[in-house]
Amino acid sequence: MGEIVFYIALIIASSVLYLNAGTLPSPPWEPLGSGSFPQMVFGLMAVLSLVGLIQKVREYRKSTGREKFSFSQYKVVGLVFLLFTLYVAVFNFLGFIISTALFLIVTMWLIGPKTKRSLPLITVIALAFSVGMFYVFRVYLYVYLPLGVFFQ
Amino acid sequence: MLENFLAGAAALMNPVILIDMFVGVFVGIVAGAIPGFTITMAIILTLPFTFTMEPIQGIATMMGVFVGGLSGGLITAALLGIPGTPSSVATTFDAFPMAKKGEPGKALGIGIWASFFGSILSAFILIFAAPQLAGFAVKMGPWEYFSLIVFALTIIASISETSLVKGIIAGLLGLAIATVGTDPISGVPRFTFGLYDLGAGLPFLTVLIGIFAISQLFSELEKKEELKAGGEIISGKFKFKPIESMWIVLKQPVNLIRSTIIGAVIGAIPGAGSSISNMLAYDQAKKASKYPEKFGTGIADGTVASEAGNNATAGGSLIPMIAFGIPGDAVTAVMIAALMVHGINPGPMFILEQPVLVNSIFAGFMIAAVMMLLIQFLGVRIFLKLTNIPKYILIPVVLAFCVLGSFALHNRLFDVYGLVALGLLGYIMKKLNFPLAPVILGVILGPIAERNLRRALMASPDWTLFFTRPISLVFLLIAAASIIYALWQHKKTKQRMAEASAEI
Repeated sequence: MGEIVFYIALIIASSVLYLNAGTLPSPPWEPLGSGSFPQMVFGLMAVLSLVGLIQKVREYRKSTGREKFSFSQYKVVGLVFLLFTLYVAVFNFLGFIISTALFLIVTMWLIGPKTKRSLPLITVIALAFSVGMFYVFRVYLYVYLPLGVFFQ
Repeated sequence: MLENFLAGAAALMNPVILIDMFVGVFVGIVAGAIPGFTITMAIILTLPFTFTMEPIQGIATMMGVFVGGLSGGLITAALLGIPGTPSSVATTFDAFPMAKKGEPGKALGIGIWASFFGSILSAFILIFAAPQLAGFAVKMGPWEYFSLIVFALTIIASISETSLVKGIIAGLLGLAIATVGTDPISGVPRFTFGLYDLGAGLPFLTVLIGIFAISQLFSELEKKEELKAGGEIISGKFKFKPIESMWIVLKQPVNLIRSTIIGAVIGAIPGAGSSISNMLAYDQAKKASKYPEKFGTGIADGTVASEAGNNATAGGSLIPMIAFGIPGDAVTAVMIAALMVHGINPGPMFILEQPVLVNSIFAGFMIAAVMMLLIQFLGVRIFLKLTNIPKYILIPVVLAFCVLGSFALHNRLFDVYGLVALGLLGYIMKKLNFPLAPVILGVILGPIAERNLRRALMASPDWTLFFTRPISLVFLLIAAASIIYALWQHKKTKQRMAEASAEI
């Protein structure tokens, strides 16, 4: 089912972008304008996605049993993805050190073994990584990672 | 030629560069040894650390990671029976049984030497073949270049294990991603949706990290049981006899050279990488052997073939990268990105204009192979400890690294937001069985394809030139042949599957 949705999304996106590419200017001195190559790409993509969609729909009709989809398998993936998005969202506001340390501690705790020993261990790793990388990038690589509101 | 090579090697004889390379090889081996972490990922993640380096230093370091990564998979393949990277699948067939029989030191030793000789021999092939091909490549017009790219993309799409349609869609998606930003010829902004940050296009590194690394990390999260525990701990004591294992390898010159040539040729063909060459080299060694029945029981021949084969692919895959500027697989695509970060556009002009720097790459490849040999023999115990780091620590740390890497390239948050979106796209595609390598190649090849297509038509608006110029025609014919072959292959597997299910 997921594949069918993905193909439909691809068909819509590539058709819209195909039309969008048609509005790009084509200078008189060039047989192909700015939009021609993208139009080829998106056109071909739309056609092939349609082929893929038809194949998949046929397959789907033939198959008798419903696909098994276990949410529990993806629970961890979903949660970590949420945490990751959150991390990126507060990256600038909280600064690299704090946001990274928080992300690491929460994620490692979430997916790791919940024993008494593990919390201090992951805290140390998280702090060592975030503080260490901050200075390595600042001092050796001249990359100034965001400081965040608390250190400015 | 020799003086250029010596000048190139001399440029690397700087303690700082050598130390960086050493670290690169080390990191590569560690990444290659950890199952679920690919060489591609290792290169992507070490790249940010080389941003501020001089080009030669940065590239030498990346070569180190590349060579190290290819031999790292050997450790887990031989000692745990798990291929650390897809390129060492065939290594598990004989090296692991040998280790289980109580000779882990011998198994590793043979593998290390075979990797080393495979690398060095393929470096010679590279040094001779690349300039020749580049000399040929400069004579190619935009028609030939465009057809070459069509050929490269179709081969990659048709090799992909799933379906041809999916492979091509993945490649097109890469081409599509590459069209975002300023038009390379007329300078018109395309598909930027009014976003200023998209003006220069989606940064290549962000696309790479998102599509490749993030998707891989998230699929590692699905294996719940593996997250909490580390890998198996190997407590076995083992002794290395480096000289003895070297002789075992050298006593099989035919096997060694055949596997190296297979590896180098496979590497030079776009689309086929070390995951194919190690299987093929192993298979050929078995077929040519006087005692094929012993393969799989832990004999030296099998390990020599698979490890020489996969390491020789590295030398081979650098040939089209340096001569044409066209990557053969995802790993070399990332290497091209690494060169671009350092202001170098690989291609025929690169080899002609900067022969010394090109030769530094060749020399760096050889030096990295020597370092790999030393580090492997001295540090196996350390690597085994490192592969035992539990995934619940490793995955979040590497995720944070991904954010760090994509931020560091341009120092802007926009790239990090893009990373999340592309990561999600990559993960969805992975789950739906779309191959990811064509996406990366599409992103690299897209701008080259478009530029050459438009240049060709500006030179002459005649479309038929693509079919009437002989070299261009040859490339297009091979492209068509590879599609037909893939369709036929697909039909055959379908039939076989139908027969198999009918029997049940």
